[in-house]
Amino acid sequence: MASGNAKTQVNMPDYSIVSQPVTYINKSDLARFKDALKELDFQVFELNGEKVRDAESLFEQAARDWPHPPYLTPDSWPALADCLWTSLVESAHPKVVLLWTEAQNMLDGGLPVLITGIEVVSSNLKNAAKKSKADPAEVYYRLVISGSGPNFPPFQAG
Amino acid sequence: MVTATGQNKTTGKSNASTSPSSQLQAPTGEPAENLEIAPEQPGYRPISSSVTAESLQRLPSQSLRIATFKNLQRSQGNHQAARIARQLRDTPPKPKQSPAAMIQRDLAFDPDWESTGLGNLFTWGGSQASADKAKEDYNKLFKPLEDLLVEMTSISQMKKSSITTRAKKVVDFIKAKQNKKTPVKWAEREQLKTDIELNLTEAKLIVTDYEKSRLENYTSQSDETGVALDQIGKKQPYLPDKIKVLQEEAANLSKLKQWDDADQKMKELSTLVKGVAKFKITYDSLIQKYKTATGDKDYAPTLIKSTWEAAVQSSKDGNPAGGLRELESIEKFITTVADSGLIKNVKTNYPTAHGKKDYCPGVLKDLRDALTTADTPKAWNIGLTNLKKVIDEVFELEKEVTALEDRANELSTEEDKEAILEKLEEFKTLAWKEMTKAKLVPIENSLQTYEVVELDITNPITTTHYKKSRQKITRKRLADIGLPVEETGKIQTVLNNIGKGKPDSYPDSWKWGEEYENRDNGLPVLGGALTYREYYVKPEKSSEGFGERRIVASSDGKKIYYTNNHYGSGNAATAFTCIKW
Repeated sequence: MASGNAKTQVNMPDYSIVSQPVTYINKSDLARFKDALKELDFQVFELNGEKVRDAESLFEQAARDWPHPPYLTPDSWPALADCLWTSLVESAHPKVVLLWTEAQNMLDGGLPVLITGIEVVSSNLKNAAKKSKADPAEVYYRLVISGSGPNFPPFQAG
Repeated sequence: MVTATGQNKTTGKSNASTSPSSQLQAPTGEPAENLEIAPEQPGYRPISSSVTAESLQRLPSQSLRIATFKNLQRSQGNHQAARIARQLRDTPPKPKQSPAAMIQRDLAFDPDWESTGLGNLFTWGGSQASADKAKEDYNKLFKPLEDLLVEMTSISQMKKSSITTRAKKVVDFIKAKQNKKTPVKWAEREQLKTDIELNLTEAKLIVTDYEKSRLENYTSQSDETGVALDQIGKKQPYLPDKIKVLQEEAANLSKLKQWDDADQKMKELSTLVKGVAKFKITYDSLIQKYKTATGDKDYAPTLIKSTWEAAVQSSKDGNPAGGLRELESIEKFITTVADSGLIKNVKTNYPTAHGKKDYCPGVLKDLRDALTTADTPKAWNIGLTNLKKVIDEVFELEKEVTALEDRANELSTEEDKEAILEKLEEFKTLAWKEMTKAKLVPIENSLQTYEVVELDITNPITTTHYKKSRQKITRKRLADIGLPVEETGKIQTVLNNIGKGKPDSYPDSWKWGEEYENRDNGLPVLGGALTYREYYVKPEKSSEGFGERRIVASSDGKKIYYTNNHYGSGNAATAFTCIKW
């Protein structure tokens, strides 16, 4: 017979894998990391950084992989920021990860663009979160940078 | 009737028969009317305190003895008088001397009479020794008393005192004798000598006390004045020269014991010093304001300067009250000028406005000069306001002209630039009344025409990491861009609401004042704490969603840019148009 005092246990989702606005993950763990994101119900927009070396190539790739309204093109830093803003604040999905893969390519002459890109995207995610139509307590807009080599740490879930 | 000599004029007999004094007899037995000294003689009255029976007997007449005895009674009481009377009774009278002998003795005089002028007043006979004694008495007694009397009569407070009166009587008596070369009767001499001694002693004491008192009084006044002067300060420009003069005069008079005159000088000095002290209070309270008010000679009102200098000079000349009146007459004026706070600005602004700019009006100098001749606070205030107004206008015009010159200098076409600059130079030569902002409008319109032509001139991007040849800025007034009315209206709606709040018809998710990070450096880099703020402008059709129209404004609102192509997307020729600068 069930006890009337038995406690109901609720498993709370663990968002520690994306606890920071920007997360760095080694390419070798990327598949496992993406699975974990799916389990947490994140919508992932993956920018294939294989050909990205500078700002122009980044904008071109962003136009393909990252969200933006059909009438806007992310072909400059303010355009990219504005595209992300308009997409996110209009989106009803509260959990979004913008993933930038093969980011190790940026470490060979593209570091300023990588850093600017991280700054532009992360600050826009933060500002957009404030204007999101979703419940503010449930909004997780994150940027994940993935690459190979020692600059990108392994995934340590849980 | 009893005369002062003690004789009854009716009977011719003595009245002294019933009283102890009635028993007194003149040692010489000579009749009273022959006596040189009689009570009715003005001035002289023997001092009874020195009377003895023997001295009474030596008196030359009965009436004198009676008078002296009565004085004795008054001064020493009946008991003493009775004792003297008993002595007289018991003392046998001296043998009579013959009248001839008396005359011989009384007429005996100093052989040096004529040469010394001392007379034989105190001679005790005709001998040389007696003459010497007389001289000695004269020098030791009479002369000092005579000198002292001069001093006493010079002192107003002592002039009518009893001691002065008595001493004067003695001196007058002796002088009368001297003038008539009449010897003093031998019987009077001792008493006279005693009286002189007593008068001299008493007078000396009184004069000494008096002088001491006056000296103390003088010193006290002098000290008070000294303290007051110390408080004023010895190097004040308004310190009257007369103070030193009065101090010296008073000191000299005090040395001469001319106390009344010395006091008068001290009083004059004290009044002067008090006046200066009063002057100092107002002077000190105003000096800082005066310095501020006249800090720049070009703006110092002449009235203030001249009156101030006159006030100081007036005090220096010994008329601090007059000087004070001068200061008080301009006190309000000084305060007005000093407290205006504008003079400092004008001091800097006037030369800037007047000296640097060719187009500064001549009227400015006239206005400045009007300040210096203003003779009331009100007139000065009006003058200053007028001057400030013109200076402000000059600065405003300068600002406008400089801005136009700057814009003209940015023109890439040399001909256009020169044309605008030439027009601006012409403007500077206009008369002040014609030099209005309205006259600048056509010049600015021309300039804008030239600027519009430069729409396609690129503003090169220097950073290699961004797209090149796309971020271009031009500058045009909103009305001059040539946008559709619909677009201009929507831009204007945003412009009208910047700083106020997002219009109600705007979706909440639209950017309104979000920071525009200017990552491309597509817009000029802002300094300090300024940032760019971004505002969405409604697209032509709502189906376009957020659209591509954006306004970016500096956070101080001084520069506003507009883009209708999403920051120059698609290789647009111009990314932004500066619509406010």
